[in-house]
Amino acid sequence: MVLKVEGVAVGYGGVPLLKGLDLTVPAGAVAVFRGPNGSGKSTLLRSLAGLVAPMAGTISADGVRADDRDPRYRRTVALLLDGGAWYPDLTAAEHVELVERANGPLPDGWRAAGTFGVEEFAGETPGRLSSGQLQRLALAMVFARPSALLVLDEPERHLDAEGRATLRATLLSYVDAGRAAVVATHDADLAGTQEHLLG
Amino acid sequence: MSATGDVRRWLRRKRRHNTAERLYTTLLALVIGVPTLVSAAGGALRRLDARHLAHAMPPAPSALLALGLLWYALCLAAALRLGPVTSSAATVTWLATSPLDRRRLLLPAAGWVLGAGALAGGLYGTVGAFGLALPAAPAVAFAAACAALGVTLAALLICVQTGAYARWGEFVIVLLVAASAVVTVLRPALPSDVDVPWLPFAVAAAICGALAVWRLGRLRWLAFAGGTRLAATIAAGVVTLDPGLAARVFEEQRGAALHPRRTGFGTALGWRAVVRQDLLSAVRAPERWTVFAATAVVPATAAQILGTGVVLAVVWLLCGVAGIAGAGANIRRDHDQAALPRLLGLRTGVLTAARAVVPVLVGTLWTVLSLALVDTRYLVWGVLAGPALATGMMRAARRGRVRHEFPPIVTPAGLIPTGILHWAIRGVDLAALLLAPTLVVLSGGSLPLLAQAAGSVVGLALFLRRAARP
Repeated sequence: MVLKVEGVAVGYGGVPLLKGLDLTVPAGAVAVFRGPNGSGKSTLLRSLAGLVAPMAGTISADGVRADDRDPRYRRTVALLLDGGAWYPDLTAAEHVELVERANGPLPDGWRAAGTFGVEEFAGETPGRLSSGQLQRLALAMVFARPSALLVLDEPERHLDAEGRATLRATLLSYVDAGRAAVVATHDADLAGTQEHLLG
Repeated sequence: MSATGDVRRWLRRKRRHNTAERLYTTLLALVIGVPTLVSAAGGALRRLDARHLAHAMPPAPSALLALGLLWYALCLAAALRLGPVTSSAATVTWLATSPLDRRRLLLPAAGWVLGAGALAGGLYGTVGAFGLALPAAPAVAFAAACAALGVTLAALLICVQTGAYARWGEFVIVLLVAASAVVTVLRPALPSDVDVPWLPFAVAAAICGALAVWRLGRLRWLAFAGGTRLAATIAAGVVTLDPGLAARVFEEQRGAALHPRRTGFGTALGWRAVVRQDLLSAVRAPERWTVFAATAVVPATAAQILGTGVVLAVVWLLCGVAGIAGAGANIRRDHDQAALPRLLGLRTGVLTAARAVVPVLVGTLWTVLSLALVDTRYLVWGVLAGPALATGMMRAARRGRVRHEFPPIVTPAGLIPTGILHWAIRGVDLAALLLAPTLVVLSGGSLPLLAQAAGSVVGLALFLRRAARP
């Protein structure tokens, strides 16, 4: 898996926040983006996920141009953006199962190390979960689907120290299987193989 | 990969809301609700027919065309903001980002949109045939053609959503409102007894519907994620009986999309800076001016259909309060977030008066324009009525959220929560009181201009004095 970003400018309303961005994220790499609020981290991640077309330049993963309308790109990228959304009448375990059904089961050996402790509240509906538990559920769902590139926007949000440690370990386990991850974070302890400072 | 249908079936089976109790409740609601609504609507139509249409002017096809253009502009505006294709937030987050076939995933939602288009078109056609006094067979053909047209328009709205046409769509809305105004003013002679060929409309609907379904596969995630969020907020507002919630969220979203290049305060200080802020808000919200223009046209088209009368007066009043509501956005914000006006450091009286300047100007512009479109002999009434309308709108802007502590009242139609009624009429009540002379004139009565001048000046002064109290 290789994510290629060439001469990319991103922003909104015709105003670029980032310009001339070149980047290659090979298999086995975790690219971490840091920067102050409003520096364009989330906007960049949306473009990497194919949700927003960049104002200039090209983004591709394994030769497939970033565009969420292309099922091949959606098959490649698993993403977690700000805030989750839930079916109020499905349990936590059923949410994970739904993602597995929609995306297909994980190939052998792709299961990441952690399931973020979802089994502790597997039978509960989202309305009964704390914000930290919901974030763990969202992460479990993202890791439960087959993907070659993970795009995470502040995945450490609402997590306690143990949850953050699980996240770091799971990320490394994920990329060890020949995949790549792109993370925007404020967590100083979340070290990537590539560090990018924005803003 | 699982097929979309399999996942949807699994989801339906697992979701706990598909219980027999829910089904029973839904059926019961339909059995009781539908006959009640049909009976109420039938009664209202009969009363409207007996009391007003008997004295109405001859059928005005051009007015119906003008209303149709405004109706489509409204649909397009809603479609650009809400979808029209939406889904649940969870589906948007987890299923729409999966490799599942997006067209199949969104097909049910698109089906609802097309169905709603057919229903809205059919209703419009039925009312139009009634207004044009068409015989039975042509009336059915007219209603069928309108229903097909409704499907066509809904399909085109889906096509708009599947492309990046937001700016183009806003431009079309302005064009439609302008066209409606032109039709209202020029009143082109259109035949009212044509035999409407419904078949071409049906063929167009089928083609456009198929095109829309095909285009669903090209729908961008962001294009329905944003609308889904706003639709969910509106639904939450309906469930919690907080109709203002959607307006507040919409204002937040609109503000987030703005990219002002420069400040517009200039050298204004003190209360002048507050007025300048209101002017900036007005300039930076072009859609408010579209609403302003559209609502100004509606009373004129109503006058062409119904002539002068109580209905026209009510339509004019409601359109007025809605048409200039945007000018009260900063009053609403000051009232809802008391910390903001405190930051300005102005005395309450000075701030209240400064915040009234732009609404009075906008209100006067609206009353002049709307009454001139109804009949140019009402022009002076328009000049005098503006401050009264603005006063009513300012009261509406300060109403805050629905007060749920008010007791419900028992009526023959069922239990009515008075909190929401109080919220809905707050502002309209004062506008009706202060605009009474103009409303009497629009209803066919006669009063001296001085009465409206007094209503406007005294009403505005008393309102400002009262609003300035801590």
